[in-house]
Amino acid sequence: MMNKEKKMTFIDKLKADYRKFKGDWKNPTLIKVRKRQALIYTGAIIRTIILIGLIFIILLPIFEKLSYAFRNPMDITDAQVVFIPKKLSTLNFQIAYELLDFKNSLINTVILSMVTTLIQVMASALTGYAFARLRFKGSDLIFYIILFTLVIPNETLHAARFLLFTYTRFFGLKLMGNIFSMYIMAAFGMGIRSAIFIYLFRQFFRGLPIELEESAEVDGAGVFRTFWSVMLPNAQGAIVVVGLFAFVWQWNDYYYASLFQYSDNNFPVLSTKLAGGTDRLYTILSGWVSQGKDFFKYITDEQVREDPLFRGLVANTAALLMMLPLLIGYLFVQRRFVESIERTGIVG
Amino acid sequence: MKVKQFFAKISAAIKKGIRHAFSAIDQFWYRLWQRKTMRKIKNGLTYIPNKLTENLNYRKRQSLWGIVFVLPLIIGFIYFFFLPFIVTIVYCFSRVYNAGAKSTTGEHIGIVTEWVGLDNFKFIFQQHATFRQTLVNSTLNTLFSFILILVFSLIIAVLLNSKFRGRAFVRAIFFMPVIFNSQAVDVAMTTGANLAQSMDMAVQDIFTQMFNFSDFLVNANLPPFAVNFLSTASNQIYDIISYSGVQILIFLAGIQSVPKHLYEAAKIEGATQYDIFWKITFPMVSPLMLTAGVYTVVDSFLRSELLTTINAYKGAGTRPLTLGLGDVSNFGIHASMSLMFAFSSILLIAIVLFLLSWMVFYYDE
Repeated sequence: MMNKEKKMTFIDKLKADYRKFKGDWKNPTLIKVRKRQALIYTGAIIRTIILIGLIFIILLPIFEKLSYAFRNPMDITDAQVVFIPKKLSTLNFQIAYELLDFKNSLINTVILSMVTTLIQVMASALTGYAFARLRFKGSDLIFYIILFTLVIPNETLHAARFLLFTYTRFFGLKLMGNIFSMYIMAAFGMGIRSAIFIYLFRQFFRGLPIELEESAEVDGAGVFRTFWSVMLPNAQGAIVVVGLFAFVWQWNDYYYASLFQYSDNNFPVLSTKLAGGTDRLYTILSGWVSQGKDFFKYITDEQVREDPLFRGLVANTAALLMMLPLLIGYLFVQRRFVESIERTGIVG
Repeated sequence: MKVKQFFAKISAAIKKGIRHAFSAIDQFWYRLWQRKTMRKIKNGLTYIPNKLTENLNYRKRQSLWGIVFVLPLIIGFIYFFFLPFIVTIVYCFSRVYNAGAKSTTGEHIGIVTEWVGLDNFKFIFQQHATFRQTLVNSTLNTLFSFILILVFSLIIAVLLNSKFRGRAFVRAIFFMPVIFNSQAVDVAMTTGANLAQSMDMAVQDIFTQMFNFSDFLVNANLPPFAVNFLSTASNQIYDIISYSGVQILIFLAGIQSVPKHLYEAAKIEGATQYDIFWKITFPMVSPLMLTAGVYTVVDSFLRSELLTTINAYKGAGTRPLTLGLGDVSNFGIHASMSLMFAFSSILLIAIVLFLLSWMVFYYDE
């Protein structure tokens, strides 16, 4: 009896549910709610699929690079090895390390990028502030002319610049083969895409309330004082974005390094070492073979040493080595970077 | 958890240290200038400027400082940009060679330019095998990729702006290609292209035949134009992603600066996300389309194959001109090619600005 009653209640419950469901199914407001929810869920699903696909596309080359880097050079003729190396080996890393002269060029690159970033941030903040608030007759015209420099790329002026810098001096300074030429370019607002940074700072300072400056003026601060102790601390978001871009672009820069030729012997930098690397690689490698470097005893096959694939493998590893410090640094600053993008407040 | 606390402690200590150091420097600086001798020096140094600006009001003093701030930029612009630009235009119409030193007196002569009229342009347009084609192709390609990049980055910016789990992680990954965009790596990997190709061969056999996108589109009876467009777009997807980092950034900042009350009002009125995008987000972000569009054109034109054609004439030397008299120098060819490059890039930007100005909407508060 009890059992039956329980069963009855269960079926009743189902029936009641069904009735309720049937009622809900035709209820116009609930129909709208369901439509809205279905839209939201399908949107979320589509978004997730798109994002996962794009993340896969972005991460795939990095994964490929890693997988090639850890592959034993002896395996390049083996068709079975596609992504996962048969035997892990750090041989490629050893060769690429030697090839890039990694320790020296890393230190040099870090110094170069840091100093240029500092100078570039300072110079572009100053000029951006001047264009935003310290207007004078013709300042807008100058600003647009500076923006015009973006339109004409550096490479097109290469021949003229090369001859100009070799045969003239800039305030008594010889620019060719001189590492300070990069700093000078940055300080005079003509560094790597400085115009973008000036534009960014100008927009940022225009967005700040003018009351800040007025109160500083009332308190008796001069113009430079206002800029240094009131405006600059408020521009942290723009400083982070500009600093990161300046650092990365300087790190990856190859054009200016080849223009000023500062990296031949006196100042090796990662980018020029890498770009000159694969062409020089073969001669260097044959030299190393005759010297009897350690890592060649592992490459027993003569064919492998002369295979272009082997050169490609080493070049790939060298590229990875160049990117790796940036990647590690980016992991630390990324949260700060993404936050400050939201606060840059670029308008118009 | 412990690791997190540890890092937090370390970063807090570093911040404190930096703040401490800055305040110490500030105090030292202040005390230094408070001393009698330093004060006298300061008064002496600033006597003339103070005397001159005594009668100026604050506004005028500001614009004076503005000129002082901008002055280095003007000098840099003139020396590093304007002079080379003028020199490039002069080189376009001349034969350039290095005369070196005079043999009799040892006097340095340097670069000599000789007027040849339009010979350089004759060379690049009539004699050069590929320049015309490359110019047209890369201009069209840039226009094509400009449209793709702009649409793609706007969509991604909207996606990244919506709230979902793991948003910080996704954002961090999307800005990674900005870091990896390196000319040096590209140069190094051109020799490594063989590697990637042969490594791909093994994979291609299975997957490419299975998921051949253009085959699929052809079988779906699409017109050939659409097939071409879609398959190149899907092949270029990595390039598009890696070139659109800055544009995503610009759009993201723009979306963030849209007043929140507009969204709230729309939600109360019962607008869907689709409506909100077309009626609020798109018009509010449209002024930024100009900035992003110009940046995209400049950036992707820089990566076109035209530049490799130009770079072949980087060094010194001469080429014979079969259609005219005498030779033309490499520098002259380089300069005239560069001028054409700049012209077409300006033309492209004008087209882009014209196209975009139809959809720009300015919001007056």
